[in-house]
Amino acid sequence: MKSMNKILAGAVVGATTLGAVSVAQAADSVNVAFFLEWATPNQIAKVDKVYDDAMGVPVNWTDFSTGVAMTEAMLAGDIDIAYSQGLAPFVTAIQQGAPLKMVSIAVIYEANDCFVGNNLGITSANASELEGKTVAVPLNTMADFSFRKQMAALNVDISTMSIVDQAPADGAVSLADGSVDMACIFGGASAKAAGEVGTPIMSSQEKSDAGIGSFDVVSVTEKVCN
Amino acid sequence: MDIETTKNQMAGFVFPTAEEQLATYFGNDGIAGQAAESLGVVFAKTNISNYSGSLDAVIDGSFME
Repeated sequence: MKSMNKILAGAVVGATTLGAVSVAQAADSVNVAFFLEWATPNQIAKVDKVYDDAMGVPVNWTDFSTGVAMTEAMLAGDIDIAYSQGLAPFVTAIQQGAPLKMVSIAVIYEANDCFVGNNLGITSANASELEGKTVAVPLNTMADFSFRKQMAALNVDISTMSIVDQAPADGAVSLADGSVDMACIFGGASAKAAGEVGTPIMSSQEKSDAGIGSFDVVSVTEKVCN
Repeated sequence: MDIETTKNQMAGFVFPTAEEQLATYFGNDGIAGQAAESLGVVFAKTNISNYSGSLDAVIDGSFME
């Protein structure tokens, strides 16, 4: 467990970043997107109303299931700041011309796991047996990025796989009921559920050795910055 | 999430300071830009309306300075 000082430092960075964005001058409130299953220390500041005090206006927090959904809400004008949006959905949004900016790193973490059903007997040693199988992936998220990197590291041809676009909670359910053979997951509760019926195809050490890592960002709309 | 799941999840998290982020992740040679490029963003595309030839257009650490 990281030291409390480092955890609080993370909360301070988050507070500093959100507070420095000049939103309050023109807004009656600020709307922030976050993930329910993602325990980041800024949630201490959230509960303690640190951001509200820093910006001088109420800060409204809305949870989302994916970073892609966060982008959609930002483009719709419903969200001003996305906290811990995955780099992958941010990049996808920029490629599509979305007027967003990345203003800080929210958290760095081990690449998301892809859980293979325990009944299949597939490990990293015989990963080629994944070819032709069905996998649940929340597309254009860091879990998607992790999936593609892991399959490349294991020399699995993903063009042979049936990829189903599912948010992590749904992917865990599909893995449990056998609808999919593998589910790529982010989020504590969903990962725990997937872990009850599946096993990560790559260990933490294997992912690290393959150079597969992840980080989420704090992104804002350009309207907020201007 | 329950406390144990939360603790297990956070045990794997790293929260870089503002100084660490500015030194390592931001700027034209920063990790963020490199990672974004590996994720398929070709920053030379002109569909980014305010792209001025610098990653600062979309990756901006100035709010942490």
